[in-house]
Amino acid sequence: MTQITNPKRSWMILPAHDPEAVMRCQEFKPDVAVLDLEYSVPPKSRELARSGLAALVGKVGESQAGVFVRVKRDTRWADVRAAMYRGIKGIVFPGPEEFGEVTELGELITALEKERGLEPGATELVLMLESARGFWNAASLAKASLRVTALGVGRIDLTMQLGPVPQGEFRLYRFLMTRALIAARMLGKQPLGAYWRPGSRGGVASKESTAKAAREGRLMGFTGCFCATPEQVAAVNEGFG
Amino acid sequence: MNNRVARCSMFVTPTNPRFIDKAWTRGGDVYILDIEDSIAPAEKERCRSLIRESIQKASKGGASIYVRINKPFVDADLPYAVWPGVARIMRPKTESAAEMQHAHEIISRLEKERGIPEGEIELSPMIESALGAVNIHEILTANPRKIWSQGGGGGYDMAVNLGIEMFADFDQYAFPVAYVALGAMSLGIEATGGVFVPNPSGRVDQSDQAVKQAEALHAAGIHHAGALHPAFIQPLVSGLAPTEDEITWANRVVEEYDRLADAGESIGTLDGKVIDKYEYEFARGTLDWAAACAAKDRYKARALARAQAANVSR
Repeated sequence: MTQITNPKRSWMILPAHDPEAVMRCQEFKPDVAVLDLEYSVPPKSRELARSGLAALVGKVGESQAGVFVRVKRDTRWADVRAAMYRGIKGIVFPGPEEFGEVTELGELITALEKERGLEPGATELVLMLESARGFWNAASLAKASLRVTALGVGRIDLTMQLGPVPQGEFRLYRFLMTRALIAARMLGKQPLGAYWRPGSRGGVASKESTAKAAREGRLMGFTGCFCATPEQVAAVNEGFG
Repeated sequence: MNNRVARCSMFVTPTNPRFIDKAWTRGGDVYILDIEDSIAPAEKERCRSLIRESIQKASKGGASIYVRINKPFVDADLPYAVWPGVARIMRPKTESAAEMQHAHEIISRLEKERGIPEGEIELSPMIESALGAVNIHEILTANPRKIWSQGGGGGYDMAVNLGIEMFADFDQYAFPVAYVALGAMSLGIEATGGVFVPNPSGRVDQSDQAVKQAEALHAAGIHHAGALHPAFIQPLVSGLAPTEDEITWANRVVEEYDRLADAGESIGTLDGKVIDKYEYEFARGTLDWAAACAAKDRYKARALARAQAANVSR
């Protein structure tokens, strides 16, 4: 088997309400730019982020191979409408739980591709598992739309409140990572995730801990992960390189 | 009394007066009256007849009462186990939805006959075999009765069923524990959890082991544990409640996040730590749990005072 260089190691989260920060992303050389409408956008800037998205997607799309938009689970329909413009490569859906949710979002994308003259079927869907329900249904979710190209594990220690256990890991983490990996591999999707170890709560990941998490993630079969801060991009590229 | 707070559920043997008569003085959150493994076959009948009075005795200190029945004698055991004052029936070695449904129907009938609000008594499937673990989802969704998930790991029966060595220095139960836990979590069902703490000695009566177990469970975010020996009661009851420092910090986090939200923000810092929706949720969880533990402790203290007064006056 020939070794294929993985082109999507680092998925850099960029706050969509801050165009300057978004345009600076080139300096850090992420493999994928993820314009964020979720965690990194405060409530007061959400409308601004949505309304500026069409222009931003086009602009970043010129220089960056892959521009994805991460929507917010609760407002995903309006968010997808705001994101589907020329230049878009795909949508990141955080916290999917049921087959029908993914199918439905895929159909909305189909309608918008048609309405806005985008290439039919080209927009990808990346599913980030964040809840027990999502992990239980992992394989079913990945099968719910042909658009799904990647299945990922985010910071489930935070979203699922998994505390540390004496073995220096988060409770259930290894099992959940493996469950996502198996679902992704059996369906030919890219597995996204890094193996984060317990640190102090509320701490920011350092370059070193990021590189270690990426390296361990790669050893477990994952091929890329999300970067919450610019400093993490180089560490992730190296860890998955 | 709500039975959500079950930091330590201890098995007691109804046929042994020494255990039953002292239980109320030991401070446990829950006593499990056992008709199963701790009772010899020849003693089952006598044990059944002692359950009703044991409920009164063991709950005098404010503890909730569960009854563990026998898998082969569900029909025979339940009429002796379903009484007012029983919070939960534990059904061992559960492997299918049909078994859950069968127990549910008998409990419903007995509740009706004995003036217990229908559906009040919880039913807890104990997962102690490969088949039970694999079928966890159908077991937990078998009927509308309130379910509490139990097991998947650590137990003797699971070790026998899987053919594994129980007391090893690595986690033999990692997969069944995680699979059963995920099944319960995916349905929003509370579960008695486990964290692997190496115990190659195989002893279950050492209080330093209890302290280690409590610290590990608390750190992992698990609120409920079982015990086989009274030495585990105090370490678990105090160790699984939030500490004063944790409560103080949680209050500060909630206050800070509320301030952020009022300003239309969602990420901030406090003492150099990131404060965001995840830390907020975690802090809210800490405060909820602290309040529930405090309520249970007050209830137990009142019950204990009453029982002590009654004891003296006698």
